[in-house]
Amino acid sequence: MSILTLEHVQKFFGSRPVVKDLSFSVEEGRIFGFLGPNGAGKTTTIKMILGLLAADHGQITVCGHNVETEFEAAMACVGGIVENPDMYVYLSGYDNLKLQARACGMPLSRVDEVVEMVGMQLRIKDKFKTYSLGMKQRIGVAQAMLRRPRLLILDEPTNGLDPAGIKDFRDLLRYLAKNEGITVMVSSHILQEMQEMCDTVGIISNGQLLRIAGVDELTKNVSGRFRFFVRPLDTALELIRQHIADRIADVAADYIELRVSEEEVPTVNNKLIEAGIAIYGVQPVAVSLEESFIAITGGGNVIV
Amino acid sequence: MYNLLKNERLKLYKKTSTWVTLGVTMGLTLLLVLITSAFTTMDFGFSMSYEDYCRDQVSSLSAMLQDPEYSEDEDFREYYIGMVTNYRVFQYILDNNLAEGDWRIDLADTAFRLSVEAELADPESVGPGEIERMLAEAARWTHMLAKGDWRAYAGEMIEDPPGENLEEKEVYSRIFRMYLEMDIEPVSTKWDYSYEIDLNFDNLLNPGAGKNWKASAVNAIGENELSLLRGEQAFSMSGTVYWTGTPLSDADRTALAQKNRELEVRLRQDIPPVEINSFYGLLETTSQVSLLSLAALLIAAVIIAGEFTAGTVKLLLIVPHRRARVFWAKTLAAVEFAVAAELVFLVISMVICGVTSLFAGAGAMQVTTLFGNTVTMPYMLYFLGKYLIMMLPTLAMVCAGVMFSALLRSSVSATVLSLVMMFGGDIVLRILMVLKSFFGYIPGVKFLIFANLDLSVYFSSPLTASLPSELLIYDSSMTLGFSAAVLAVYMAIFLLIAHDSFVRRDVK
Repeated sequence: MSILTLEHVQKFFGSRPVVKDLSFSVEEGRIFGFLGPNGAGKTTTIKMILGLLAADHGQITVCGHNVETEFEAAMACVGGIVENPDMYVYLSGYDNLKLQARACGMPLSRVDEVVEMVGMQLRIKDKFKTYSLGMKQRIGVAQAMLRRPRLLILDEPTNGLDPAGIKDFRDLLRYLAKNEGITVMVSSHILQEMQEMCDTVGIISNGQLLRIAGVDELTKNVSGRFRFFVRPLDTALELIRQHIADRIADVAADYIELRVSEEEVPTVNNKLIEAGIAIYGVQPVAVSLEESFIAITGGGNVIV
Repeated sequence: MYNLLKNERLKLYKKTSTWVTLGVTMGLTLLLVLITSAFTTMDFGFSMSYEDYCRDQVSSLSAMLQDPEYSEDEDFREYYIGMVTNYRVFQYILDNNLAEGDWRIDLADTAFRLSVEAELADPESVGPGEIERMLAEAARWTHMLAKGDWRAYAGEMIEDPPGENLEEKEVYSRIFRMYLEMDIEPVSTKWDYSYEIDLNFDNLLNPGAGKNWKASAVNAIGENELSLLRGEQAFSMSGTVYWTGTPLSDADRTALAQKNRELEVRLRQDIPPVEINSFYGLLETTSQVSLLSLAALLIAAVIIAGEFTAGTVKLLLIVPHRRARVFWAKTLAAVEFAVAAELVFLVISMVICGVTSLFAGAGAMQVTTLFGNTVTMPYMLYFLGKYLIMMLPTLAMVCAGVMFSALLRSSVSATVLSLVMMFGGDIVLRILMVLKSFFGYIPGVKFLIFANLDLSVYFSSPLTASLPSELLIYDSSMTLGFSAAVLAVYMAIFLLIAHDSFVRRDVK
């Protein structure tokens, strides 16, 4: 079942189209990565989903409620952070969450629950301005979780976090998805973390959706390369050059990388053994999301 | 909706800048009160006694009279007569040891002026027997002066009143009849020195002026009646009524008649006006200089814009409430805050003024006009009612602040524009007031918000004959009800614009 649906959504800033005819849907229970270079229209799309911007054309449905016509019902089942986790810096984390709980009609006991969920019990009475970025992100997530949303939307949540912070954050998301059973939509321009975090990835560039697929699918299909760890390398290389010189992708100190299909691997293997070359291992080359992304978008400003 | 209001309260009350703004404006206001009351109770270097003052006048006048340069001048005659008269009046005050405001000073002025005029008259140019007639008249008044009986003087004035025609003479006789009937010794407004004789008979009297209030009230009634009779605005200073040449409007006529009814009720029921250093006098001063509307405006200016500046607006708007509700919660919080601040300030100033004045005159009464009826009520009730009405401009400023806040979405711009409106509007109005005296008034100006922000002009009884309304109110057809209605319309427009902008515009 789709928890979020966008149909032919368009948005112009003045005469400049920022989102062009965007349609996709997110299935319930998934962690959906919304990937694209800076300026691709990710934040604009998220703002439209959360009702901060009005779509010029098309419609957006959250949990079956049209964001424009049934705003209150739609917002009751979606929580999120847009851009930075901006909160009232002069208030404590607790007061910030209290505000949100009241606005969403939740009891104050729910505040304690979400504080525990994000592990901020110790510092919750401190002023928001004293928090580190990681803590701010946690409070941001807690704020979004207050209303018991079915869909959690996080806009570039790992921006500015250090590697340890990113890992913590990833664990938190996994925990929430698993234990609270909610659907998560995460936007990012950093590919690596998408690969490690998400089930499904939608790639957006220039306001258009280029592709939507499972992470496995994106990484598996493009590869078609195998590494042969062989000795002696020179003899093996000479043999291969005589027969399939055009298939060599890379040569390293201890392996030769060949563009061959899975079915061809035993044939190559046999030929090498026949020539008296020792094979220490054959390994398929896993294609990173980056390569897939670059292949799809044709480059762009992505952080690898 | 109530939850959203509670949220706005929490945000407002836990913000340091809220209390800093409020504290600074309240502190500044109290400082202004201190300065004002220090000025009103301070003797302005009038440490000289009245006697010394008169002696000074005598010596400087005699020096001027001995200067031969002056006497050669053709147009100088009138001035010269005045100087000689004044010289003799001051000499008379000293010789008879008269107190300031003694009714005989006026009489002496009349008598001496006549005799000086007779002495200096050129027998060639005046008609036959004219000098003798003047001298006889002067002798009559000098005789009255020697008698020293104000009742006899009043009786004489009733029989033979001054005035240019029959109607004016009637006004003067009626005034002197009032002195007699109410047994009020007249005061002279000539050569008052310490401001203890209050001519304007405003609601707030100078310290010490209260002891002469009845005579001042009778004087004011006379002036107003003359003004009504001539259909011209009068302006009086140091015992002389000057005619401004400005015709009375219908509104002026109504106000003057109303003022006179109030004065007569005061006299009949013996209700003195409030002195400026009494409890209510200080309270009035405090509320006049209050800067709280500025604080309310500044706070309203950031109540929406601040969320945009801090980026918290995204958090604010993704809650399951329509934007309109968020808007009204914010507006309500700003209004509520302004009203609460005004009320708290009222209590604080009551305590401070009470302690400073030792609650002197706290049981005073006030005479005012409500819906055309002259009514008497405790001053406290009058003051509280007035205080509540005076909150209207503050609320209008709050609505303007909310509008700037919603339109500009930047704390700095909204604050700056609010300040420009508050102070710039006042300057624009002053310029228009000045232009009016040269080119006549422009009809649309009375509908400007700036022309209606100072409601105190409707309470300060500007329409005694001595203070023309045009000095205070842009257009004399304006009333309290008019200004209130104009402000209400502005508030509605401001909020509509703010609401529309907040609800419809994208949050980029």
